[in-house]
Amino acid sequence: MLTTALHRTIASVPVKRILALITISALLAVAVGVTTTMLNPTPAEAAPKVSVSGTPKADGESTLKLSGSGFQSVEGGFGGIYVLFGWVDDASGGWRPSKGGVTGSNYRYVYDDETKPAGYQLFVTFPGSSTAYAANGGEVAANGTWSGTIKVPGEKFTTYDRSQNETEVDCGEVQCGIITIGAHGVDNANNESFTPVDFSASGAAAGKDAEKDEKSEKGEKTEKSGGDEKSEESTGGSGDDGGGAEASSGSGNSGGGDTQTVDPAQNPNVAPVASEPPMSTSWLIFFAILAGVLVLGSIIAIGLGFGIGGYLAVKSLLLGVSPAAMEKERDRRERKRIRTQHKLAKRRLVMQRKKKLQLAKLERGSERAVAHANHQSLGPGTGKLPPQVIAFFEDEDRKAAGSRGDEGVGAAPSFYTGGVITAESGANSTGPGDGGAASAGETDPEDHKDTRVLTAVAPDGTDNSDHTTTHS
Amino acid sequence: MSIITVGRSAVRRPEFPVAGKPIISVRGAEVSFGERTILAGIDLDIRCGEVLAIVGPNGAGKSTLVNVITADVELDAGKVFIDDEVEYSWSTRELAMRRAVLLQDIGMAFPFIVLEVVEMGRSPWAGMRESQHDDLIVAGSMSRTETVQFAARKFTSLSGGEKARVALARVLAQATPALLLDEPTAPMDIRHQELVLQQARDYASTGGAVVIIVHNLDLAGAYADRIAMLSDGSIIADGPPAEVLTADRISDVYDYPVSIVADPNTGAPLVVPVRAGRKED
Amino acid sequence: MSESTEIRDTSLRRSRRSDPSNRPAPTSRIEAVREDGGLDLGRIRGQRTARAGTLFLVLIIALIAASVLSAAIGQLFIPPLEVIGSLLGKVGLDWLPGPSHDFGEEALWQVRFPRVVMTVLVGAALAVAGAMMQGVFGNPLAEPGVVGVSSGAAVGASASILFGWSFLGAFTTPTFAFVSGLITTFIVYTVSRSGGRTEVITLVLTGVAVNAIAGAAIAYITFAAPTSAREQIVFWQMGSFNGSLWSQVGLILPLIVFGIIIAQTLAPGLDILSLGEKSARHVGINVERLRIIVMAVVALLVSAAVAFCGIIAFVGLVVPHIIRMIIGPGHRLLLPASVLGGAVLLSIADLAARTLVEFADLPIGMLTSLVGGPFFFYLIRRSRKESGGWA
Repeated sequence: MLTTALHRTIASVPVKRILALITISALLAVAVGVTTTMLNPTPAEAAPKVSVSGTPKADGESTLKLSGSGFQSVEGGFGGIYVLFGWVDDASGGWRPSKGGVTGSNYRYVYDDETKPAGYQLFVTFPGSSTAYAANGGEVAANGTWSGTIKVPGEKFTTYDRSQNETEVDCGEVQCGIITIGAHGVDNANNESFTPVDFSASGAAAGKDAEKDEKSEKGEKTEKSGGDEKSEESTGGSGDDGGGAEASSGSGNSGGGDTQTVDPAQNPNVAPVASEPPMSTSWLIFFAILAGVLVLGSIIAIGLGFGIGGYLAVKSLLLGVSPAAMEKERDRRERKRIRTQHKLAKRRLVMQRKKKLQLAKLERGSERAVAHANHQSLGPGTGKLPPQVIAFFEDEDRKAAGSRGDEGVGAAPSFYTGGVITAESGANSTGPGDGGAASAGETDPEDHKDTRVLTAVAPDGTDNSDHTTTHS
Repeated sequence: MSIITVGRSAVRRPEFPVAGKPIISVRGAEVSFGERTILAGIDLDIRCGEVLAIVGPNGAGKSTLVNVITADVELDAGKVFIDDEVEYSWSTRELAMRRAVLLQDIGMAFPFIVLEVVEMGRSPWAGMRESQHDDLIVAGSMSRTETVQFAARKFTSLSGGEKARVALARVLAQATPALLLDEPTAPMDIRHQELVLQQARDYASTGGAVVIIVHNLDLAGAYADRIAMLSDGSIIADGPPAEVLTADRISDVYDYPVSIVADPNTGAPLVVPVRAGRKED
Repeated sequence: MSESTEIRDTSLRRSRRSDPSNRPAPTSRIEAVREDGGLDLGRIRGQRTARAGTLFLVLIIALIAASVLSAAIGQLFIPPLEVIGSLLGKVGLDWLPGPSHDFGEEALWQVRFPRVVMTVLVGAALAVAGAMMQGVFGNPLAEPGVVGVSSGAAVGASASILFGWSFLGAFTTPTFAFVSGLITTFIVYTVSRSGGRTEVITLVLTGVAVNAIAGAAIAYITFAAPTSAREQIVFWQMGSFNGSLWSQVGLILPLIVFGIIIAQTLAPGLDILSLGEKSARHVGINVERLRIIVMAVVALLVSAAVAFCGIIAFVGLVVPHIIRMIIGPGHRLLLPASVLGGAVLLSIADLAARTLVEFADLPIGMLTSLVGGPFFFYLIRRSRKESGGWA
């Protein structure tokens, strides 16, 4: 009973089509949503961010891997981005050249040898720029990302102040980091950033930069959500506590001083993720929703099935009791049967017709090929027209000369000379542009005897026509 | 056009027309649109050297029959033979060398001049030896349809009847063994109606086959060698005008009483509908 | 048959009205009829040829002048004589002196000449494509954009810019534009076919629908793109010849030349299409095949044209129409004249784009639309007045 009930509810073709349409549009919507999540459009005012991987050593040279995102790339623009390692005086942004900051006083960085660069500075060029040849840090891609490696000479480095005097910067005392500014002296606020970097084997960078706060806030969020993720996976959707979170993030020295300090040097996994909302979360949410929909859907389907089945059961019970109702039911079923029969018959006719047409088409193709091969008149031919056809087209004036219009009865039509072929006719008239008929263009001397007259022919042969001898 | 048509030597040319030979034959043609049967089993021969008039009331299937002959409508059953071969064994160009068609719709999308329009009729023969006659044929067909004075005028600036004559000139210029004219005289005045039918007769005299669909039974009776009367999708009469145009038959088929009178000049049957006289003295 | 002629007197009186001696004054400019009443083909044809010859001469001169001026004018002004001198010098004829400025020769050959050649090619391609579209649709208002080539190409180009694809180097975006333009035309055509035939009106409406979908796709891509990519997409859609390179010219030159040659062979068929689809078939034209080939050639020409330069509209509408007004609608002359006319128009437009605003390069698509839009209005009004409908 259940199967018949279900069969009947979902049996009709239009309903099937509607369901199919709904499913397809749902799938499409899902696809669009997924691509949006994956594409992850950056907001209009994207702040440039640099993620650093690796930790610089306090003594000796070390290499850091950098990857930037959210930068502005100008196709064919002049210059690009300088990536430097150094110190800024006011991490809230006052050091920036676009805000009036000056190198040597507001910010200081490691210099490099111009002729034999060691890699303490990176020049990331705009694509298609005129100075692209000088870039050692690659290109800023159209989506604002770049990557490269920079060398750090150590915790202490020598640089120059405003008055070109040598001065030393000690990163143990001040906060150093990765500086990015517009290249070649072009001030570009969109590409200015400072990313603090701490050295290993030292106590801590007690940073109080606003930028660092911003960054560490993000780090905290990531921590929490990262922790959530992990605990959810392990406990299957139940609540969690932050304890597990702290353990998983594993920042050992975060307890000291600022609770929000996240040491990017020791937690490379967290920092890069901090710049984007984690993809795994949205995927999970998507799957959760899908599962819920499926579960709900199946529950509804089963409920419907049972409900309808129950309704039909009750109906047949009632029918068994009342003969009038049974009569009505029988009629209804009969009519429905006839209707479906008609529909099927029509469909069958259409299919038969289609099949016949297809067969006919195949037949034609083969017949056509055979007929073509068998035909005799292939070849360039002579281009001759039957003489009477030529005569048909030649100017009526000329034909008038040869016709016998005057007598009336029994005359051949004035345009047609029967089998008479005049000398000029035939396949030799080849006068393009002069009007073929011009070959016989002289005015017919017989014209004044106009032969084309509407003659009333009396049976006795007299004609009472009016010859118009001149054209009036 | 040359790159998209078969090589010229592969095009099959029509034979010279032989009087009396059927150049177009329809055998058992059946056409139905959905449930309605338009043509029910038509057998018709169109012979060279004669003028065949197809007449019948509205909706009898005359235009559909012409469409079947020109392959604009698919047959449900039956075949059409043109020049001894099944119609679909000819390519479009080869068909155009054998039959020329004048439809009722003669509009043009762009303002070509009349001469250019008539020259279009020579297009099936482009690049072949027959095109050496182009100028003669174009000039001849224009003079036969009395359209020479329009030669340099834009086609779109002509009146309806003048356009119809230019279209006829184009069709004549195609110089094919068979001519199919679908109500060519509909927009024309008396002079030009007679002119067109006269030209059709002359054309048939040269050995071509001319098929005309006319509403005007008098014209059919006067100029046709044979009349085929269609009614409800089948041919109910096929023969010389004197045989076909009888008062009983016409009254029956057209569902209106008529009487037949002989033309005082030629003796051809004239159809006169029975009318009530005017209420005057 | 012969027996009936005996009863009948089949003579027809010559029309008194068409009698040469009392004919009214001729209403056409060309005296087509000789004194004896015969048709004077020679005179009509002669008039036609004279007109066409004059037009071609004027167009060729205009094209040469526009090209030389285009090469001469710019941020670095090089006198036209020096431009010609440089050209001749390349061929080996030292009749005129070359550019006097240090970087003149370089500027000419690396920057100006590729741009001029590109403009000429794109203008020719768009004008011919427009003329063919109008022939196939039987309507002087038809434009290649109707079948979705431009918007399809835009989708491809925008997608490649958004995803930052560059596996073909600088040719990635144009290739995507080209391929997606072709695909869109193909889709429009197959969707609008039914039973082996394509109704023109169905084609137009399908094109409208596909254009709408493509427009939505472009809008989505623009929305999803980061700022820099967004700018690139927008500028591509406005059209520009800035930065034309010889490599680009080398890529589209064979395509466009091939397309124009094929178009010329289709000219007689297009003429006959004006009789109407059925009548054209009765005269021996395989209408369906002609339509397919025309669509393919139009897609080829337009895709090649927009691939590097972005979307430039209305050239295919304005140029063929003006030429039709001058030498009539015969396609054998219309297509070559459109080639020249399109090249001239776009050269002048590019010159204007470069010089109207100091040190800036106006998007050329904007200029052509600015001129083409009002012209389209004028065309609509004229069509409606002339025949009470679409002429």
